[in-house]
Amino acid sequence: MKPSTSAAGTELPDCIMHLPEKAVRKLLGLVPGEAVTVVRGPQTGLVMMSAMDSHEAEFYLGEVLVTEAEVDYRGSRGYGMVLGDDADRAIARATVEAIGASPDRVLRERVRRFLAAERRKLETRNKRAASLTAATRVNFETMKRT
Amino acid sequence: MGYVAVKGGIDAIENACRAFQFERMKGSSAPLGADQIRDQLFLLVDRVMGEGSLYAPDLAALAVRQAAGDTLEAAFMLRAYRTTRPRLGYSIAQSSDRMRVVRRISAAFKDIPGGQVLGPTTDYTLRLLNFETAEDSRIRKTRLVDDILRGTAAAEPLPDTFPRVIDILRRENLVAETRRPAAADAPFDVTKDSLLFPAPRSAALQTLARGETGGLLLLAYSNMRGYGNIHPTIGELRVGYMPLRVRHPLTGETYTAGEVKVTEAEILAKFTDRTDGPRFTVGYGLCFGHNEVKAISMAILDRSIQTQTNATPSENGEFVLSHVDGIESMGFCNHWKLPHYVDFQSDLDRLRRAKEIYDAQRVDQQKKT
Amino acid sequence: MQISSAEMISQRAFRRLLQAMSRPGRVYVLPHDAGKGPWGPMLTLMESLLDHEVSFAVIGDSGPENLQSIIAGRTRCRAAAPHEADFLIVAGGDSGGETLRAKRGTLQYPDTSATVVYRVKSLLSVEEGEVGASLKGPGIREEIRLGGIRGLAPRELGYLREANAEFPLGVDAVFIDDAGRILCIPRSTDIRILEN
Repeated sequence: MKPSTSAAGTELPDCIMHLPEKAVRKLLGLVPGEAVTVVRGPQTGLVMMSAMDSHEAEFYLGEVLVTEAEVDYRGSRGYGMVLGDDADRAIARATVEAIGASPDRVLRERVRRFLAAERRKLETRNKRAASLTAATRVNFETMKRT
Repeated sequence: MGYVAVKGGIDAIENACRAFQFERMKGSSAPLGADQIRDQLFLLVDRVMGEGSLYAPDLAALAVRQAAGDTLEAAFMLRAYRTTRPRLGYSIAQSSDRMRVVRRISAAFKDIPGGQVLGPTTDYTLRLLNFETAEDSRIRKTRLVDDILRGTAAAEPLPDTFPRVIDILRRENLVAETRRPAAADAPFDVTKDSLLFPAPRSAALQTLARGETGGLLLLAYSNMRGYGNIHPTIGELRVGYMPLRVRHPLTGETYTAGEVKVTEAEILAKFTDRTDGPRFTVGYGLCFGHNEVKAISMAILDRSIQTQTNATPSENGEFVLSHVDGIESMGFCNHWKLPHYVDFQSDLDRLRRAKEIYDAQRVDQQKKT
Repeated sequence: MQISSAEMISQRAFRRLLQAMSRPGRVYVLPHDAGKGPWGPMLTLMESLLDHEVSFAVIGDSGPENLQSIIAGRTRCRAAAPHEADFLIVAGGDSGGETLRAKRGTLQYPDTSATVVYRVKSLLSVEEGEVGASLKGPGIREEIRLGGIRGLAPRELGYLREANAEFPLGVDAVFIDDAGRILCIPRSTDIRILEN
């Protein structure tokens, strides 16, 4: 199975994490419902977040509410986990992963095009917020004694 | 301590719950949406998530509304909710190197690699009440957002990562290393095991991260004012989003589920390490949400607990870690409202008897003189 | 928040198990909506006991199905060696002596021991069948005469007796059959094998 996971979080399916609710529903609408079976979940649960301090000592920061699901698309498996109580989004992530691992090239391409368009919209929105943050970068002048 | 179980008053209790709801709803103002609280009172939501130790902004907003703004009650509700959900697993441990930074400052150095990024902050406001926005309409809100975004000059984009400021000092060998536990030891989990003292550092950091902001601030402040010896400089303060990464259950590869907003503080304090010569020691604080006072207080307390001198309350690990949890402290405070009738009756009997004896003795003394 | 039916089944199964563990030697039946089929009730029990925080080992022949991977897939529990596992699943009622090597805990932490789950063919109630053992101890009024347990290897009760010789060290045993009947013998129970 070749799911499209990513360590850097920049792969196309990762944008599902940030899509507005309407886009998530549209994404689910691209897939023929009968072809997808939910194998596990969707269920909410907790992930204990593990952090490291500046000396790489590990400790538990606290629990994060997530929703997870596992689906089957024509024999290919996909898994999805998202933050919060969001069954649709978890199923969407799992479904896209299953489709990505399936031989259905037509659907894979349709999904890819949809996600690419959505990601462009997200990037435009994010760029505006990011430039506001960038505009807060300072170069303080230290006050000189005269 | 003798509590007495009491029966009766079911009707009164139900009405009391209804009376509280009435207090919240009786005004003529428009009903409050939890989404409004989540979006517009985001620092309140962040605080409640940190103290409830559950990162779930929608739920925290709901709790704040239901508790009519009582942060201790709201955090309590999150703790209660969390007991109903299974723990699916643990994230992959990571430092803030992977943080998507929105705010990052240092008081120790002016020029730091990546620069000082002020981000969204009230640090520079004049603290004057703004009466113009007393009535916020949707149109005004949208216009304000558009104005802000339009008025922003194009600035050089921020780098993806920012190197740690204390690494500058590390390279000069000026930072004392904290004793790191054996790599095989999993971090202590206070949600599973009771704290014993002296507590391992992972237990201390987790307890502080769950701590109530006011309590942490009080103890840290006492240290700053002289009931303790930490003279801190903020080496680095960061606010941003850390990815929540887990192991994909089918492939075993790393999988990012989303981002979690956190605040991180590193403080530098002077310390003479007798074996190695003088070094800076680092105090570390990390908490959910945007909560700088909490992260800074956490870092100061992390450092002061490590001195292990127990000379002042903030330097006494057991004192600090036993008293910073908001649910524990408010719970105990509130428990005094439970019926203590039997206890008090016995106190009353004892007092009356003691008074009898006292009065009798005084009468005797007056007779003698 | 929705409570799924799977969670309700799990909770009810766990409650029933608690009852059975506190009344040793008595047969209880898992809730009627527990899984059916050859491994149904066993898997329902596994789902209420196992998660990623503990470990398990499957001993013996589970037939054509790979019981270990089915359990791991359903519960995300990790497999471990029998002498280290928190839960020992004896698939065919015969541990081959592994029960003797299971974790018995320490005096300071007796709960770090193993729970042994025997899948047997049938749990007859006490009145029917031959008498195999006499049970006495907490949760038992005076004595329970345990009927024959079909599908349990003859030496297993003896192994349990030996593993539990130094209370509070020992293991706790659960017997489960394909009809969803369960019976428990915790380490606090004194087992006396009766020769016929």
